[in-house]
Amino acid sequence: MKFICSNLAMLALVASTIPSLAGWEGVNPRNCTWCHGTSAQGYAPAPQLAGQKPLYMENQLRSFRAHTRDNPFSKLYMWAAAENLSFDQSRYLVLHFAALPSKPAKDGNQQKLVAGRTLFEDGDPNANTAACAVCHGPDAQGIRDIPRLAGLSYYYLRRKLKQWREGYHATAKSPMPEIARQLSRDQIEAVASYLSFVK
Amino acid sequence: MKLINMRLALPAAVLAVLFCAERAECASSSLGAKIEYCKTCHGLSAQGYYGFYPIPRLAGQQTQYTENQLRAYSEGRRKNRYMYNVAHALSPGTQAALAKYFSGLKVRPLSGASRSANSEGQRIFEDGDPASNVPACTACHGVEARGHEEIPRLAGQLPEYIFNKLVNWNQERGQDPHHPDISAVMLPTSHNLTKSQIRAVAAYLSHLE
Amino acid sequence: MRSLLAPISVGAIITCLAIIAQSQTAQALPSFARQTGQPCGTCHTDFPGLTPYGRKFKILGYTVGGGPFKTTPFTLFPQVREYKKDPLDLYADPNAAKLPTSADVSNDGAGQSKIWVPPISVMTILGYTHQQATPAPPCSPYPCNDVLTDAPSSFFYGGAITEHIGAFAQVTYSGLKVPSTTVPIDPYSTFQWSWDNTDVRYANTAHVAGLDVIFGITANNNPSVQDPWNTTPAWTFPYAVSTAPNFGGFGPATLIDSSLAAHVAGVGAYAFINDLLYLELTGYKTINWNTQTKLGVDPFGAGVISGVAPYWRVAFEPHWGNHWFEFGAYGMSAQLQQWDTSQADSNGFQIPVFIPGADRFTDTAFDAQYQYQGSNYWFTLRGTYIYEYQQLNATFNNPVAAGSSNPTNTLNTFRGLASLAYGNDNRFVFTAQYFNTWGSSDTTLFITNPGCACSPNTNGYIFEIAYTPFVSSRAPIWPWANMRIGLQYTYYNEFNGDTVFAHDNNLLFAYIWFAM
Repeated sequence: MKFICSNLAMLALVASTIPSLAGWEGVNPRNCTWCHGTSAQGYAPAPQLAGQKPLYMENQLRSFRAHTRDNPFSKLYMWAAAENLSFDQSRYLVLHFAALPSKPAKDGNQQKLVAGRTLFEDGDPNANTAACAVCHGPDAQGIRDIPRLAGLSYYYLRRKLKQWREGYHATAKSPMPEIARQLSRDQIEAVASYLSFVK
Repeated sequence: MKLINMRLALPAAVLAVLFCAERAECASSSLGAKIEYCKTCHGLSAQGYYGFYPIPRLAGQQTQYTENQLRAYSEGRRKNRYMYNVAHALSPGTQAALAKYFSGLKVRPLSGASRSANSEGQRIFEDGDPASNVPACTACHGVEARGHEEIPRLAGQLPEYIFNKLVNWNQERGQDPHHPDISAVMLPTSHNLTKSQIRAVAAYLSHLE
Repeated sequence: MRSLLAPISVGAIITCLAIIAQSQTAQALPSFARQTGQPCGTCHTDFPGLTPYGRKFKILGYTVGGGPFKTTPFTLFPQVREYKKDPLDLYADPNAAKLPTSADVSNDGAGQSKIWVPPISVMTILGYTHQQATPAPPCSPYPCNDVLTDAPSSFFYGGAITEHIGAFAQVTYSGLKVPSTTVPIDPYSTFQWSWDNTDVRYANTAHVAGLDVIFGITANNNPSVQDPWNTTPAWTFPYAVSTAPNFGGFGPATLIDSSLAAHVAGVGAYAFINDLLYLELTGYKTINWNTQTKLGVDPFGAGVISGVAPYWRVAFEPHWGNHWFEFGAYGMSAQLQQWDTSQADSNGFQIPVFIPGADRFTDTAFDAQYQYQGSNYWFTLRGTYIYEYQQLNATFNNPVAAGSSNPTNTLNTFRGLASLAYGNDNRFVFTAQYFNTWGSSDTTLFITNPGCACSPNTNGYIFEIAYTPFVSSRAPIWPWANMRIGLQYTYYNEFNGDTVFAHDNNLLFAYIWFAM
């Protein structure tokens, strides 16, 4: 046993000298896609990552590590998932996913599409609800740290809006909890349905 | 929806009597609710916000200017799909009250309060560019860029917002040729400035308090 | 591909590193939790029953990482940072200078200088069994009733070997008490160590014709051990059963119902298309006689497959919102040469001789599953029905003495269960299962059944409550160790064709299942 050990210990030593880029420890996107879907289109309840805004995703990973984002599934899965990512690894991952083509989930309620689009593009001035498009873009494509909403799963969007109404937190500076509190249940279902169909 | 500003309670109460028929309507048409609504996009202290579009600062804006813009949006003289929806649903009295409220807000510029002295932007702002027929901006906007009556405050405004407006002036403003408004005065200036000059001025202004 | 090491060397390296690592960590580790960084409840509902994520982990070959340690001993992927699009374009920010840099972010040392520790785990089950009617002696060396057992214990290698190859390999100590005696003992009945469920896989992903495909190869030793839905026999409830030697079991088992476990080795290919459709085909052969004994397996425990026995599996898993449905079918077909039990050596112990001919067993099965995920619970329904057609060409025509009274027999097994896993990380689990085995009566095959109704029919219910105190990732000893405390009651309506005395076999089994 000792003899075999010393020979193989030599082999291990040799193997460990295989050069790796200094300071860069690789991270495999598959650590994310096993839950978020093989091509990162989402796999309930995990949302689509493909085509999402990279700065938004970086901020989310940071908020998971800081335990700011505290709804049940974030706590259950993402706190652990983000725990061991370095800054460089986070950046690599978000850029990888941001470049992937995205497919809309199309799982919303088809009866509510028109109401959803109206709410998204024009808001409801009489109810003091701002148009989502002002921040999220006319095609819900997002920008910088504001997420793309186009094509996200109806179930995911609905759950997020409902959770913010229930008092769960978003990232530190996000206006969304306050905005969600102003939406009625019907409005949430309408806008979430509409967005799941947007390409 | 909460009423957050009690110093406006009196005019709000007046408005409430004049303009709301039922209790439910009353709540969402109350001034406090409208202020919160504006702040959803324009920033929690009305300092502006980088959404998909750069959304301008309202804090410290000239009352008359704000009122004029709201009226211009609802009458179609200034084109913006989102602000049209917003302004259209506001009564003139509410528009006036909102303008007065925002003019009283003080907040640090979104871009930060540092200023780079003697920049090209400062030069254009203070001296204009006579070779291109660009007057000094201070002549109308004031030395501190805080504006006067119907001339807007520029201090602390989002630089991308200033840039977009100056570059697209004739596409957004003065859309009703039968009812020209004061915005026409900026048209030659916006033409005569080059894009890099606009960028420089906007950057300078964005840091002014 | 990284530098290639032959599998044996890998095994040896792992062992050596384990020896080295043991000086750094006092105990071996629950390796999947450590490899992914996820708490147990991410992948398991009614442990070891799987959530959809647990199924993905298994289908991806046990290679997914994300935890605080390096996933494999090899240099991590990827070597070079390649971006498919210009990062600045992706950030779409005119003020690109505002992008946060690593200087803006406190790193907490995450992701730096990860070490690799081999994914070895250990488990043991302490059990107490009480049977409704005390079985008649002789029971020695065990007491006849109220039996305490401290086995089985198992060692596992569970986790990634390379980026695309992973393994679940179990070695079990059965805790079999061998009576001390001067009389010779049958050498194949005294194995205390044996290899157990083993599944080594290669898995990769591809994008084909607009579809996401996970595809792989499995090498395993028990038909359906590789299956991710806990409806198929190898990994189905009950997961812990009484280890008391008088435990009667659940009636005769079809071939696919773990009858060949550890006797065979199979290699197969599978694909999981668009997270929706699973297809697999695996072929099994019986392991060489000598090799079985070296692996601690009694080679007389099962017939020997002639040629290759195919195993097939189809599963369709539509899902939306928090619902997952699964509908599937599976089966296998095998020609078995049967041992001639009349052939013995001078000590009276069996020697390896076949009866002429071969029996053919054809198993066709259907299964279904429903899972619903609440914010802190999982509700699962599972069912499977196995139909076996036995052509007893060898057994029936055994020239020494016919082994069955019918040339063909059928055997059916049905299991249906409902399970609720509740609480932080699924720490409370309530399970109820109905089991039913029925089939042809055979006066020769089932002659030992009481009163010889000579029918295999056995059915009843199992109820279980289990509690896992340390599952949460905030518990002090996670991920080094955890424990499951369970109380299981089996109620028999009918046992081996008899309904009158069936309740005598009713069983209360209390256990503490340690895993480290």
